[in-house]
Amino acid sequence: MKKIAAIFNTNQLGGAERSFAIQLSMIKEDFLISCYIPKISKKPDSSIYNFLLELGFTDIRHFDMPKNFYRLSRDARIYSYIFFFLSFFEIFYHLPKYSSFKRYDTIYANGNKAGFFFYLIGTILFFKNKIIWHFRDYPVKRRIWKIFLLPGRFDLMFVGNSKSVLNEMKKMLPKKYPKTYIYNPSRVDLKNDLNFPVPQKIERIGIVSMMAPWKGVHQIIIFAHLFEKELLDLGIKEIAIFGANIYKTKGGHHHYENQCNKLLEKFPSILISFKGRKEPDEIFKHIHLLLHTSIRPEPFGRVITEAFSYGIPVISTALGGAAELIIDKETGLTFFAHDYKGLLNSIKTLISSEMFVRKLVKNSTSHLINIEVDIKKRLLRILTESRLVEGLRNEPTVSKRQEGPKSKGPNS
Amino acid sequence: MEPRKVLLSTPDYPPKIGGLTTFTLNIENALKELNIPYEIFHWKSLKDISKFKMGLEGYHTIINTHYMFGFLLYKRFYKDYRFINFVHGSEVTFKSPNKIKSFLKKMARGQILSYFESSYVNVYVSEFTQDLILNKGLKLDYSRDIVLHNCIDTSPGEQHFSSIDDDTIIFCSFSRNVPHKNLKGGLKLCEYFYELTKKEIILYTTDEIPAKSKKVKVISCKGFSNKDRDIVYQNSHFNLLLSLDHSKKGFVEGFGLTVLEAGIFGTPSIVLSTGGLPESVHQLKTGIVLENINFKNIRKLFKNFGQKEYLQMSESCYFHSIYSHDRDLYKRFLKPVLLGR
Repeated sequence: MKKIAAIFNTNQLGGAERSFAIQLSMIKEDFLISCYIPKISKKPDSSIYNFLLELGFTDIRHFDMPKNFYRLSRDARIYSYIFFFLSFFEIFYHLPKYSSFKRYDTIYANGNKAGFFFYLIGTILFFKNKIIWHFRDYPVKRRIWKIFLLPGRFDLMFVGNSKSVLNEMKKMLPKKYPKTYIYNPSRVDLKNDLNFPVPQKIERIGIVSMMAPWKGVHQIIIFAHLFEKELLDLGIKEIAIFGANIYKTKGGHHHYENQCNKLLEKFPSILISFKGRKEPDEIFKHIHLLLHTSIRPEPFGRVITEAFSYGIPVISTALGGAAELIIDKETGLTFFAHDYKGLLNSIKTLISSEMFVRKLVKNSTSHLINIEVDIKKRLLRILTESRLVEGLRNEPTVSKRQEGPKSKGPNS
Repeated sequence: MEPRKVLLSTPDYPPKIGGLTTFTLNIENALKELNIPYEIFHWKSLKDISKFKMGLEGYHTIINTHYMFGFLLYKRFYKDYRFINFVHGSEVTFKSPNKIKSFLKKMARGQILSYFESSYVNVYVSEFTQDLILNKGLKLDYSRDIVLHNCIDTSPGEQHFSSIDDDTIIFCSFSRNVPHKNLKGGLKLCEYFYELTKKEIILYTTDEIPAKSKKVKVISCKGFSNKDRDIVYQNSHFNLLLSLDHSKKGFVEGFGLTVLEAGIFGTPSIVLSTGGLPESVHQLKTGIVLENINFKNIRKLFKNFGQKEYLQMSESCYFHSIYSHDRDLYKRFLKPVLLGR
């Protein structure tokens, strides 16, 4: 059995970590998987550890990763870069420990900090195994990607969350490396015979997202005010906003939650209620319709597949990866960002026909099942092929490189 | 409660025509429909503002279709009044073709940004405009800074059916003949259409285009009334708004009002991907967004574009413009700001 080191990007259980863990659980019978969680803070966070235990993983370890890698991603000011370069000394100090990763056939790094770190370690220590770097977001538009043209003896591959991320990766990252995408899974207990009670009446609408401006929560507050009367006439009783500011960093999202509260004072609506952070099960049993209101392209839109998995219809701006999940009038309804009346029209369309809601839920469920099957297939393909590039022979969205360095992992 | 009085300031008002005049009339219409007492202060230059002596007693809110009036007044009366600014795009580039003006704008930028930060509400006509001022240093606050796409009076709107299979393809471009509006680019695009279709091509423009073409028949609409202009929109197959990004000279397309003016007759627009245009035209749904004017791209884009696709686009363009961009939205938006709940 091939050995895989599954590297987590952080020690906190966020959406990306949840997706990664569920993806790993799909293939845990096929590989020997060791899960690695970085040691970042002195105060241990056991959320990922516990989640992995729940999923049946037993080989869970910790490893040292420089804290300044995190500082740079949260605060890109000049001193963060200085600390970032200083952290190279820390890496050299721990270098002997990292050579133990050579024993794995594949190092699967989930996220950019883990990806970059193992690219660096792999280059310094002459790793010969496969390194898979999974992007959970769009690559930033910087020249930094040129450094990945450095010669490495390992087999490097980039994976994105969706075709949309893959397209951006193809524009930004060096052509010589193969690239593909794997969608995020929806939830752990998803069964293939999904059969839902379709909502009889749409009374409670939900927004489920972290409190960040690009999620468009402020747009919904204004929308609820502008069309409160029409929404009440349609029988809507509540627009529940689930989520919190999960970032502990400064930036556009820093005071967003407070700003949304203030906005609600200026544009009041009896429909809006803030619910804070809740578990998906509680959320999707409470709401009858999900509004996915992102005003910027989403790398994937995990909340959409979660709604699909509970039989909840979705209205979305369908930007970026979300457009691969929401096919207008087939698996959901779409509206243009900032188009308040367009959104009202979509809600009206849904409420006016129960048959239509049934059709959407049925289609979205089949779409979800196809996605879940595809996730496992793709994972197996990139992990079992002896050379990464060969696994992508029929992949229409990969680079044209025909030959790559042979994998020289110990068990290959 | 007695509605409190509003002062609406604008640099453009009839008989002057243009986007800002239309915008001011729409805000005025909303105030009328809300039965809010208001007065209009029409300023043409900074001198007019400095001479402003109209008593501000009794006013509660000052709505500015251009921030300059509010900014200069705010220095004197900032504590007493509620300022609402509509931001369109070019004015927050803080640039001008005139180097002295450009320098002065640059010097005043910090104070102007602090004025925006102290205002009650700033309404941006597009996300592009909001991003523009954000990049100039504004500390964005989502309880104050709001994106509201442009709206127009949609009552003259009427769905008009054209056929792309006609022997003549008609384009229109109601833009001023200034470099960033790129009328020459419009003519070039029409020439490419001629080469692609070998049909008769007619281009209606507001001004004379400073270029001639043997392949395209150019008709000037100088002096046309609004009604005449609407007839041209109805008869055209496409509206052109190929504005260039001249932000370094202080000119950008914040939203592109003519997209809506044509849209209410079911005439889709072809635009360039600059400024707020990709927000006003939804690619291949309500029109076409081009990265650049290039024959290869146009040929590729129109390879599988037939009458069926054109009719679909025309229909969704009509319904989107009529339904989502009606000026009734301004009334709904201003009501809580001016009257409370």
